[in-house]
Parts: sequence; structure tokens; C-alpha cells
Amino acid sequence: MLKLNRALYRDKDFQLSASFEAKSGEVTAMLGPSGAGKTTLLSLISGFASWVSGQISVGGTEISQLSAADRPVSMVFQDNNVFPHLTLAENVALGIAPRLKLNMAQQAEVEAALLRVGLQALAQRKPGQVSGGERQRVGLARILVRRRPVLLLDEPFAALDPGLRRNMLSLVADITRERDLVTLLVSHQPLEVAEKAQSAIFIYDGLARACVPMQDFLGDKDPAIVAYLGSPP
Amino acid sequence: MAESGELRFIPQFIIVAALVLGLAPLLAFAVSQGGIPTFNETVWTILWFTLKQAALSTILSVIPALFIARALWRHHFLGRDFLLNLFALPMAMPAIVVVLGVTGLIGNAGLLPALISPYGLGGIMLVHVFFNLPMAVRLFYQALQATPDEAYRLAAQLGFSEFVTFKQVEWPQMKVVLPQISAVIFLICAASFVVVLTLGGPGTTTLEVAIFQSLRMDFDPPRALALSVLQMALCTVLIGFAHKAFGHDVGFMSMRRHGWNFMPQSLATKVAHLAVIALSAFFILPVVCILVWRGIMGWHLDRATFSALATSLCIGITSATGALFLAWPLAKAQDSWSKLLALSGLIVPPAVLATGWFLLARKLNDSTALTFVFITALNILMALPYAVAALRAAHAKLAPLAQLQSQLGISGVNALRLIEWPMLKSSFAQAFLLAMVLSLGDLTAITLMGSNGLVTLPTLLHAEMGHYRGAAAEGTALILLIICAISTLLAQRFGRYNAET
Repeated sequence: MLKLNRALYRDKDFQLSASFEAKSGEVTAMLGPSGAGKTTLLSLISGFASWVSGQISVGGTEISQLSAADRPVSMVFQDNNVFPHLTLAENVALGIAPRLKLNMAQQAEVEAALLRVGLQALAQRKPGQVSGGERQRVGLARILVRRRPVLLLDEPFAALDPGLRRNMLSLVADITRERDLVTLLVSHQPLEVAEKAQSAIFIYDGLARACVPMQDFLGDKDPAIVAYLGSPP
Repeated sequence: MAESGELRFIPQFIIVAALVLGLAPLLAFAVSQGGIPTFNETVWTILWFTLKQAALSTILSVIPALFIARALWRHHFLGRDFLLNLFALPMAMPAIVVVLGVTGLIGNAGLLPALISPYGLGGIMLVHVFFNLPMAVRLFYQALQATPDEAYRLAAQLGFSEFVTFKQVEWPQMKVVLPQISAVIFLICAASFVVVLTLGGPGTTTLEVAIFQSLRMDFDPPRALALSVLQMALCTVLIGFAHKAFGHDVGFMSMRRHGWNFMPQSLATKVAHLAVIALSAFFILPVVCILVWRGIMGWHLDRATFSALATSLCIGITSATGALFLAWPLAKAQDSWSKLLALSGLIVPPAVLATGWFLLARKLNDSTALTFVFITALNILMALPYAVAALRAAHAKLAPLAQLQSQLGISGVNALRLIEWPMLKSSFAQAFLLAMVLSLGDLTAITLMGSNGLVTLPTLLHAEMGHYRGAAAEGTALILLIICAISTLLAQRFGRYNAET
């Protein structure tokens, strides 16, 4: 379980406070208007920016003092998840062996991860030779070998076609269940992620609200949420 | 803008005409002298020295630059922007001024005598590294600026060590530009004229200088022809590698603090970075300081200096204006002929061209005005690669607007008034200043053409150095340095403005 307790971030005029709990084994959608601070929130959890105050814990262990490398967190970005000069297999292997010197067991783990995301045939290709969706799968394969309990996804499928986006979402949901991960997914498509995300966190006006079941969120009568979702056709 | 097909190629035509006017008389003359090019022992020795000195200068510039650029990129400190700006200065400094500074520092009368002689291979290399190392640093730094933020976030999350970060994140960025940067520097060093003319000697001369000497001193056209063929072949090959990077260092992108630098840095790394940065500054600053200090001591503004200043400004402004008129159509043109012609000042050795024009001028009325025209023309050709590169970058900004512009029916004068001028004026100013700085500090064209009574600041300085009037020379050098430094800083400002808008 990922728990934020009165965590506060401030940068000039921008302020963001967050208190919520996200369950493991579930995909939690991070929703809210552009510029509300969804990406900032993921950066704060992964240690790329620091909170002013508050606690943040994973499975009961406080993590706010840890460096980015030591946090039990993996992140997949919207873009640039791969190093263009390395093969897909090498890009995945970086997750367990930054010097790319793998033993047999690690080698097997990389192959298994590539197989799980369906990239086994492309393992020796360079990122420039595969599609955008396949590049994002590399990011997912890497989080599999890293085995960290929290998975943060910053709109990694936004640039993909709708069908492909659905497939990727299913893959994320499956991995989340299999590995019992806490998965936070930033998205601009609430209705599209609704079927795969069990709960939602609404970020609006400097505040990340408590985590609620997805259905409750979609039926919420709060004017800000209604305005965000738009009136149904 | 609607332009008729015939008018569009006027700049290209002018350049071709200038090249033909230079090459044809020379070829005719060589033939009349019974000129089969003679590739003898002397020629091969000169070629060997040219290649050796260019290769050594390139290695000594590029390899330290890799580490300096990375240290500057990864280490944020007060004065970093100042240092990056300082690194733009050597490129703007006239070669003869740098020669004076270096001989003042390590020569017989210098502050640090007996380290290495400023004459011969050592001195030539030192001056070449002084010019090119800072440029290489800036070009590598620009390459590093293209690193995606996510690469560093990934590196931080995956726990990359300093070495692995260099290997997987930064080296791949720099590796891409390494061959081009090396080729540019090799080309500049191989074609270097003033530095080798002043610091070289009988055993230490390059093709470019040897062409000049064999035509003007030894009167040996067959040897000159052989040297010219070699020089043109060498430059053509190098241009093939270098053209992408040529004149790329125009306008720095934002030098603001890079927002996402998450890599924890150990004390040892920080110390190493600062040491590298301090060493690089120590390489540039003493030469600049000695020029400024001694320049103040020897400061003088007599009539001769004023008239030389006026002549220099006249040549500089005329050349820069001419370069802009030729460069803008060339920057807009997409065909490879235009791209090649823009680089003709680098492919055809100025020594060859100047000699051809010199022969032509002898046949015509040999007046100062004609010499002025030829000097200006040679300066324009030599400045063109840089001016075109600056304007091509600017023109690229207009391309995305082309469809919108044609849909709204904005063309001709209106396009110039409403779109092109407001968007590009800073680039025009930048290209103008670049071309002007090159012409102001020029000693190559005027030496090659023969001054014919014209005295510019660089020729005055050269004469004062030759007559051992040290103090006067240092005063003149400071005037040149100040003008070139101010123009370059302005060009930088315009370039950065251009990169950020």
C-alpha cells in the first residue's frame, strides 16, 4: 500500500497537498485538468522533486528520505523510456544490471520479461526499428525485472491508437494483479481507463483528493468533477 | 515571396563568376609557364606537415573539450554562463591578435619563457587549440542540451553510477557530433593561414601558406598548382564530413539551469569537474588578460590608428552587407548546388583565388579601389559559410508557418514586413555581426591580395609586430580585440534571443 499523509509541495505560486492511500493489486487513475499537478505528484513520489512536509510510505516504510534509486518505485514516462543506442533487451537489462553484465539468472529474467510483454522476437532490435507502442512495452518489461512494489505511469500510452491503448491498459492491469503492484496511472481519458482502473484520485486546485472507487468518481456530483468529465451526451 | 526563376539564382551566379575569375587566370598563367603540376619531395613534405599539425591540433582540442563540456553541463555554479560566453571569444579574436597574445605569454619576452617555443609546431598547435577547444566545448555542450530529461530520471531511478551515466546517457549524445566537430576543426587547422605564416618556418609550413609563398616569393607556378590541387582535394573531403556541423555554433540555446538534474554527485566528482573547468578557464584567460593589460599600457590613438580603424570598419561593413545579400537567398535554397556554393570559401583555397584575382588585377587598372573590391569579395566568400548557417537556422523557423501564410494570402512586401523581418531581424543582425567580425580581423585576404596602400588594423598590427614596436602593437591589438569582442557578444545575444523565441 502507498500512503501519503498531509504531503505538501510548493514551488513559487504552485502548491499541491496530498493525503491518500492507494491499494496494491489495483490500478488507480490519476485524473484532473491539465496543469493541476498530476505529473508533479508522480515526480514527488519517485524522488525527482522534494516535498516541503508530510509523510509518504510504501508498505508501512517511510520513503521520503530515500534517493530516487533507493525508492521502491518504477516509473514509465510519456516518452523517452529507452536509450536509442541500446537494443530492447539491453534497455530492459538496465533495470537489474546498469553495467549490462548479466549472470545466467538475470539473463533469464530479462527474457521472461520480454516474453511477458510480447517483445521476445524484437529483443535484439534498436528502439529506432520498432513502433512507438513497442518502445513503451520496453518500459513495462523493465519494471518487471526491477520488481519494485510501486508502478507510476505518466500517460505512457497517450500517443498510441485507441485499440493499442486498450491492449496496453489490459497489460498494465494484468501485471498489476500478477505482481500485486500499487499502480498509479495518469490519464486524460477517464472514460477509457474506467474499465481497467478500480479507483481514482482527482487532482484539482492544489489538492489531491482521497482515493475513491472508479464508479463513485464517475457518478460524483461535485461541480469540479462534473465540469472535468463534461456532461454526458 | 514571388520571385521569378531567373532572378532567384543571382547569388549563385555571382559566386560562380567570382570563382571562375579567380581560377581561370591562374590556370592560364600556369599553362603559359609550362605548368604541369610537380608533385616532388617538397610538396609531400608540406602535405605531411599540414596533416600532422591539423591532426594533432584536432586531437588536443576535441578530447579535452569532451570532458570540459560534460563538467560544465553537469556542474551548476555561479559564473558558468560567463565561462560559456568566454568560450565564444576566441572564435571572434583575429588570428594575429591571438598570435601576439601567445608570443607575449610564452615567447622569449614572454611571462612564461622556455615552456615551449611559440614558433614551429608547438606554437601553431597551441594557437589552434586556443581557437578550437572552446568552440568544441560549446558544440558538445549544445549536443548535451538535447539530452531528454527522462534519460536522467531513468539514470537516477535505475541507480546508474557516474561512469554508467556518462557511457549510456552523455557519450551517445556527444558521439553523434564527434566526427563532424573533429572534421570542422581539422579543416580550420589545415586551411589556417595567418597563424602558420607568422609562427611557421621553412620546415613547418602548410599547403595554404606554401601556395602563397610559391606564387609570390619563389615564383614556382607548377609547385603552386600541385599544392592547390592537394589543398582543394583535402578541403573537399573534409567538407564532406564537416558540412553538417559547419557554422553550427550560432546562437546558444538557453543556458538556464537544467531543471532535472537528479544525479547525486560525490565530492570526488565535484572536485574533478571543478578542476577540469578551472583548467579550461586557465587556458583562455591568461592570453586574454595579457592582451588587455599590455594593451592598456600601449594604448594610443594616433592618426594612423584612426585611419586604419576607419579602413577596417569600411571593409568590415561592406563585406558583411555583401555577405548578407548573398547568404539570405542561399539560406533559403534547398538544392545541393547552393549548399556547396555557400561553402566555396572553404573548398577553394583563398590563396588560390586571391592569386588568380591578383593576376587579373595586374592586367586591369591596378588601383586601390580595385584592391578594395577584391579584398571585400574574398572576405565575403570566407564569411559566407557562417552567415548562411546562421540564416538557415532562422529560415527553418519560418517553414512551419508557410501554409498558414499562403492560406492568408500574405506575400511579397507584406510577408517581409509582417512575418519575415519581425521573426528574423535578430538572425540577420547576428549573421551581419559574424561576417563583420571575420572581415574586421582579417589578415588573410589583404595579405593574399597585397594591400596596395590600404592599411587596416590587422595589417597595422602586423607591421608594428614586424618592426618590433611591441607597445604600439599591443595597443592596436586591444582596439581590435574590443571591437571584435563587443560584436561577438552582441551576436551571441541576438543568437540566444533567436533560439529562445
